[in-house]
Amino acid sequence: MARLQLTLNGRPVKTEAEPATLLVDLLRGTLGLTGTHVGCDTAQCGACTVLLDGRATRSCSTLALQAAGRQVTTIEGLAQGGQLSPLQDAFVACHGLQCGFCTPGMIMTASCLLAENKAPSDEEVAQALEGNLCRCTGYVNIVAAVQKAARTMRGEA
Amino acid sequence: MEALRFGSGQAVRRVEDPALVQGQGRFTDDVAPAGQLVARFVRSTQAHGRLLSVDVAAARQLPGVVAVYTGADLEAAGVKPFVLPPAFPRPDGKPMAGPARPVLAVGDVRFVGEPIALVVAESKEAARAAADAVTAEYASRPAVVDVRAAYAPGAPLILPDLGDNISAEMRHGDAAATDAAFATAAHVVKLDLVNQRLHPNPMEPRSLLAWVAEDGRLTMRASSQMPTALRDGVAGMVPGLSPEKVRVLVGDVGGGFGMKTGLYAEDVAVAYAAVQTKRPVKWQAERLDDFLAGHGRDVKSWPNWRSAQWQGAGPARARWPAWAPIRRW
Repeated sequence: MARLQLTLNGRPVKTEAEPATLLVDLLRGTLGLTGTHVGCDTAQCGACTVLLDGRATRSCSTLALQAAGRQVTTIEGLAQGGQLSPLQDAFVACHGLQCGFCTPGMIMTASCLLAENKAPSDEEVAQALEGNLCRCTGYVNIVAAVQKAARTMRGEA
Repeated sequence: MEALRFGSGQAVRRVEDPALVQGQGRFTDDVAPAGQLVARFVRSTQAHGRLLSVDVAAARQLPGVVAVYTGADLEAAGVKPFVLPPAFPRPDGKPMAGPARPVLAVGDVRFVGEPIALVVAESKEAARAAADAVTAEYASRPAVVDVRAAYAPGAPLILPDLGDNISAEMRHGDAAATDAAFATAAHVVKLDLVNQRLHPNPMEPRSLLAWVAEDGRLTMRASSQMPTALRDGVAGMVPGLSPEKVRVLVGDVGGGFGMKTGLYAEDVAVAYAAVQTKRPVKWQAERLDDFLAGHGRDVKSWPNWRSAQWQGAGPARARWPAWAPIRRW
């Protein structure tokens, strides 16, 4: 077991992990944050997406020890004081989720997009979310939710 | 606009969404009780053949391994096989064909992915190492994987005693009158309709947590679309259980689309392991487990329509044979 320090959702965390432990398993197991999900074995589905130093990253393909000294943001880190973030609220308002399993990954990827591009086109949203699969919604409401959040974050209604 | 009853005419927020968008859902794998064991299945690498041997001795010795079960172990313990309810007849009028299918394969394997052993260990890593240490020997047989080819004479037989691969057949209408109409038809239109093999592929693979609760009931938390089938199936197949002694809880389910209906061999095996080990046993399928052994479906049809001259032609008649693989193996 190796000791490990990282910043998780804005707070410093001291924990430990085996060299082979995946970041997703550290989050879901040791740290008890089960909002990040595992949907595949081939790093294709995106359900495990978290932010690593602000970049959307597949936690199923990242070793826990690779997060040492870095900032990790998970879905649990978005709401502030019980208030949903604009993206979270938009997904609810636009019916951008059904079973909810892909949703944390979708929201994390979208948050990375909107941090880099405040006014994406629908095509840019779709392209940014290419690595996040959904089997329930057909994606239309997901794109609508991201656009609604983008408008909110630009201060436009 | 005021919402009518049930919210008709107005956007209504779902009550479950705030938790789900904050990652506070309760999917089956999100619940991990203290002392939880991890289950992992070893699966047939052969599409069709005789399972000559399954060697689990090395796997049982590995650190962190609590148990490794084979089909022979389950049979000896009295775990019952799946029995096909005779819902429809065969062409010769005899009952629908489908012999007992053991929970873990014994004797024959009939698809790549059919479970042949179950590992139960203290961690995912220990379970994976032990599953990798299980070896099996097979005597391969030719396989048939297309439903039309399975129907053709000379096809490899799934159940040799049956003589063909037809589980059941249903016929409707008047075959003689239809054939006569086709014989005099002015036009016959033929179509090949293929509803191709699909896999439901919900984002959340199958998952099950089984444990014996303080009230003595075998309790399961399942990602299931059909908890009563799970309860009744496990109660009927695991020795010492009955429906009153089994409880199924369903929390959040990450999609099903039909794949999570009914009862799987894996469900019965994991339930048995929980009863045997007296510890919570968690089975979280990987995507590959679902591709290999989670149910899909397809149907092929060869409809023919007959039409005749416009005047006085009599009723339109159609012949519509369709084949679907029965979800038995």
